[in-house]
This record gives sequence, C-alpha cells and structure tokens, in this order.
Amino acid sequence: MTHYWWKILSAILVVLAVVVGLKTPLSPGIPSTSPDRLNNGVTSVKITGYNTHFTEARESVSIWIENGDSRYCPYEVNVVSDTEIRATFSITGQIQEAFFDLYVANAIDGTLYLPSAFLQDGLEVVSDPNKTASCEISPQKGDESFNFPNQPILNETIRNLLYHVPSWFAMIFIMLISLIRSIQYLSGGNLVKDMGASAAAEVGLIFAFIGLATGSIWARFTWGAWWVNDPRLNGAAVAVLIYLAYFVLKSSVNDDAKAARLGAVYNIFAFVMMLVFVMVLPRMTDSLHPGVGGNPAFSQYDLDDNMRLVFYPAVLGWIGVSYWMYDIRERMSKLTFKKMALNE
Amino acid sequence: MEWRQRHAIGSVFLYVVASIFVAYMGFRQIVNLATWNALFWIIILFAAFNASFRSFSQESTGRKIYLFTLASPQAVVIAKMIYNCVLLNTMVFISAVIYAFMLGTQALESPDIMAFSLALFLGAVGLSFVLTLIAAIASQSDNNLSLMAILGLPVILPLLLVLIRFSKNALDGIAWSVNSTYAWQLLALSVLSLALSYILFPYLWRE
Repeated sequence: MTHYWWKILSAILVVLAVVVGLKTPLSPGIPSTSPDRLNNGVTSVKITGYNTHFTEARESVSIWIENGDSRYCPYEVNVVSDTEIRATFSITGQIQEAFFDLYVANAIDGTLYLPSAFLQDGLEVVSDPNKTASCEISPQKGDESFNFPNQPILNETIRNLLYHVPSWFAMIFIMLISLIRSIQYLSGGNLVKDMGASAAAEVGLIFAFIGLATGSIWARFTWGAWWVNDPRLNGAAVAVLIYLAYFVLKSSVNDDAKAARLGAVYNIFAFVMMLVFVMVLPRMTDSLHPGVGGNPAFSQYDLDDNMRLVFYPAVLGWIGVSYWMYDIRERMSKLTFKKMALNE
Repeated sequence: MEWRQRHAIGSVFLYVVASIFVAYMGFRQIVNLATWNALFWIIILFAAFNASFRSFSQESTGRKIYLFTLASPQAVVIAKMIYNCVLLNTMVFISAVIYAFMLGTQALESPDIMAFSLALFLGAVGLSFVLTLIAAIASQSDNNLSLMAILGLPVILPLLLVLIRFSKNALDGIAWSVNSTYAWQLLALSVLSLALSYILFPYLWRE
C-alpha cells in the first residue's frame, strides 16, 4: 500500500481535474455585440451575454462605453432576456480612439468588460478632441463563486488548458526518463535499461498524440484552422516524427544488443535536437502559440487563481499517471525478456 | 569514400547537376525568390544525404577493423566530419554557381553575396556534421538508405529551417545586423552536433 500511494493520488488528481474541469461554469462575460460599429449619431446595438443574469438583476443593470478619456452612457437600455440587452447610444463629434471598450455591470454578475467592443463609423478620430463626455457609472461587485475566467476568443475552450498543457508536460517528463535510460545503457547498463528507454518513448508518444489532438481541436476553435504553420506546432510534429523514426530504427536491426546501442545513440542525439526545435527556436521567431515569440504564457496574464487550483494538480496527476504507465510497460518488457531467457 | 573512390565523388556531383537540370526542365526560369531559395536547399539536402551516406556504408569490414586498431574512434569521427565538410562545401559552392547559371538570377534583386556565401558555408558545415552521425547509425542497420532518410530528416529540420530563412534574408539583401542571429544559431547547432557526435560515436564504433 505504501508503494502505491502516488499511483492512487495521481489517478484521483486526473479524475478530479477532468470532472472539475468540465463541470465548473465559466464566469459571466460578453462574447459579442451586434452590430460591432457605432455610427456618428444614434446607434442601437444588441449586447449578448454568456452565463449572465440580466433579467434577474434587471434593476441594477448599467452600461457604459469608454473611449480615451471620454465615457458615454446609453440613453435607452432594454433588457430582453438573461443573455440579451438592447441599448441605444448617441455619439457625435470628435473622439480620441477608433475603438470603444464596453462595460456592463449588474448586481449578480459584477462588472463585465469587453475591450474594443465597437469600431467607430463616420466619427472624427483626433488625438486631442475638443470635448470629453462623461456620465454617472455604478461599478458592481458580483457574487463570488468558483468559476473559470471568460476570455474573449477562448470562451469555453479555456478548459482545454487543463488537458492540452499537462499532456505536453507529461510527454517531456517521460521523454526525459527515456533519455536518462539511454544514457545509463550506454554507460555500461544492461539490456533492461534500454527496454526502459523504449517503454518510456512508447508512453511519451501516446501523450504526444493526445497533445497534438487536443491542440488541434483548440486551434480549430480559436485560430480557425485544425493546423496552422507555426514554429511550435511544427516542432511538435517533428518530435513525433523523431520518436517514430526511433522505433523504425530499433525494429530494423535484428541483433538485440546492436539495436539497443543504435537506438540509445539516436535517442540522445534526437532528444537534444528536439529540445532545440521545440523549446529554443520558437522563442526566437514569431508565433501564435502562447509562451512563444514574445507572446506571454497563460500564467502571466489570464491564469486566475481558480484555474491554477485545478491546473497544478492536473499537471501533477498527468505526470504521475504517465510514470505509472511507463512503470507497467517497463515491467512487462522485463518479464518478456526473462521469459525469453528461460526458454533458451 | 575517399580519394580511392573518385567515381563516388563524381557520382555525387553528377547527382547534383542532374537534379539542377531536372529543376531547370521543370521551371525554366524562377522569378520568385522564396521558390528559388527553397528549391536550391532541397536539392542540396538530398545531395548531402547521398554524399554523407557513402562515408560509412562504402567502407569494407576489413578497412573498418584496420581503422579500429589504428585510430581512436574520436579521431575517426572527426576525420569523417572534416572530410564530409570539405566535400559538401565544394559541392555547395559549385552547385550554387550552376544553379544560378541554369535557373536565372532574375529572382535576386539586391542579394548580399557575402552573407549568402556565409549561409552556403555554414549550411554545408551543419549538414555534414549532423548527417555524419546519422550515416554512422544508419550504416549499421540492414536497410540503410531508407533508414538514413527516416532518421535524418526530422533531426535535420531545425537546422534546415534556420538555414532557409538565413539564406532567403541574405538573398533579399536584409541588413547583416538583423540577419546575424541566424548565423549564430546555425553555428550553435553545428557545434552542438559536433560535440554530440564526439561523445556518442565511440559507442557506435565498438563492435
């Protein structure tokens, strides 16, 4: 029992991360407005909310938009449903910036914010407008409950963070074990060490495929395509190719000891090259992927405390489960090895 | 493959010239710079595979044992790398001239010839260093030429991407201050593969 604690713990963590990750609601937010332009003069717009409670908090709803130093309030607000508000703005003359930021506040959801919600249409944009508008606002603090942040573009797909990122962490961790086993084999270990290296590479490949699949789905719903030409994505694809080549190499040599030696040498060489390609090169070029090419990683701007609370245990759980899988695979190959030795 | 096998060197050169000629038949003239650059490096890549593949596979078992008793494995691998490096450098520069001659230079408006030469040199060095170790691995397996491609392509890709970008910038005439980071990256990758080969080759050599 004392030996199994980490297996049980990581299994529980993975199950918890999956359940909590899927069950937790997204915090209220404003995904879109229509039309997304404000005319010179009177414009009536429809504001769509997500997980919001507009009818329930009808009395306390207040809306305003900001542009530079100016703030405008609608002269007419009509709450249609829990997720829909119609508002009418009247804006004329000079403004400071081309885009308006939208704020919607009510007593239940708190103050919601959509940056660059509207583009100006027909207004005069000058750096120093001849007037600034202002009106009374009432920011609100909503009910605190456990939920995930509602980010524009990401929307519900933010949950994927809990599966996509840990699968790559687990893959790198397992490939590191594979590397260590290969080094041990070359520096005078026996064949069992090399079997550990292949077992780890097999498990790592599974996690790489999970990472590619979840990443591809995520890319479809945020960037609009299943696959985009991006240094980080190409790096991931190459990493998979390298380990597939490793298995082709090992299976193409008949002599076990020779296959182990060649495989170990290639494994070490390929791991270093893969690390350069996946971790170093993308950071030096432009990339859509967070954490690369000057893009901030999640943790720096929108990984809030609730997300962290699920994310870190998820990472631990995935790494634990991947190690467990590797452990089983390695013991299996050890037993096959012993059986073969007995038969001879 | 050394001076004893002049026909082998000749066959590599013929391979490059034939590929360039095929490209010429297909394209006639290339006016797009990106295509010009990419096609050149693809031809060079396959020629480099071909050339470095021979450095181990054509050794007879007798000569391997002779080398084994005579020199340390480190010396052997360094010698092979230097040899491949010199061979590839000659090949790259000659084929660049033939390529420009056959496919035209309309695509190049203000090329930075010095930077492009540096790209050719660093590219040849990097390709020969990485591929020597891969050739050493592949030569010990049974179906070695196809295995060489399978093992080599994913490993060579980081180098190739940096190389193509570097040489495209050089051909575009982009300022050296912007482009020099790519040169350093290429150099770093070459040194890295040199160090790894130096450490790993002895394990391949002992039989």
